[in-house]
Amino acid sequence: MNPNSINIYWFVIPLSISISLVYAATRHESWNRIAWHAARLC
Amino acid sequence: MKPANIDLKNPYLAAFLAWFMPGLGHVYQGRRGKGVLYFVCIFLLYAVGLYLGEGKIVYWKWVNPLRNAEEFRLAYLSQFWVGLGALPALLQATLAHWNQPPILGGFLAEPPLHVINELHRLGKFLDVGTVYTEIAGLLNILAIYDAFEGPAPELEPEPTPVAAANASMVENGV
Repeated sequence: MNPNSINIYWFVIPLSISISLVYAATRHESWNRIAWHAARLC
Repeated sequence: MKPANIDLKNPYLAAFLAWFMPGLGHVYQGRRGKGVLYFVCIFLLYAVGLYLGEGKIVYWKWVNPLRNAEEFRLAYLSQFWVGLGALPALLQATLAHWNQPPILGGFLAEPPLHVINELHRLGKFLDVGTVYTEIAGLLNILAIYDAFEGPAPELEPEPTPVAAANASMVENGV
């Protein structure tokens, strides 16, 4: 696969989702709150 | 501040397990959902980053950063916090320091200089892989803290089921 054929911003998506979920999970215990917090951060 | 409704068991052991394998400390505490979430988010991010860098972007070298800043692996200081996934690098560096041959087929051993130079053909994959592995390690620090201390205190406490029911009754004018 040619690395230059992929827009680098596609790699930000999994990074952003992971950071949001992990950060939200360290702030809350309830899954609803984790999901809302993560969604706000994304 | 420890939340009253979470049994953190032995927080030191939980923190160690959370470092050793992302999510393991939470599974030990019975917080299985969070354990799976941390494992998927952190370990998968690390694994994908390592794959993008062809397994040659995570390694350590025992050098004094004040004397040999160029060869000092600053990235590994954050990658280390992934635990087991990055631990072979420390082992390989220690063996190399004592002039012993690498083990595990050279997994996470310091690559020769020509291999490191040749990695630049990966282009942006090299940078993305490095960032992924570093961020994974840094995220695991948050997970370790969560295993040790519980969720960080909030400004507004999470409503208990009774308080939530009362609030909905007030809203409905009951």
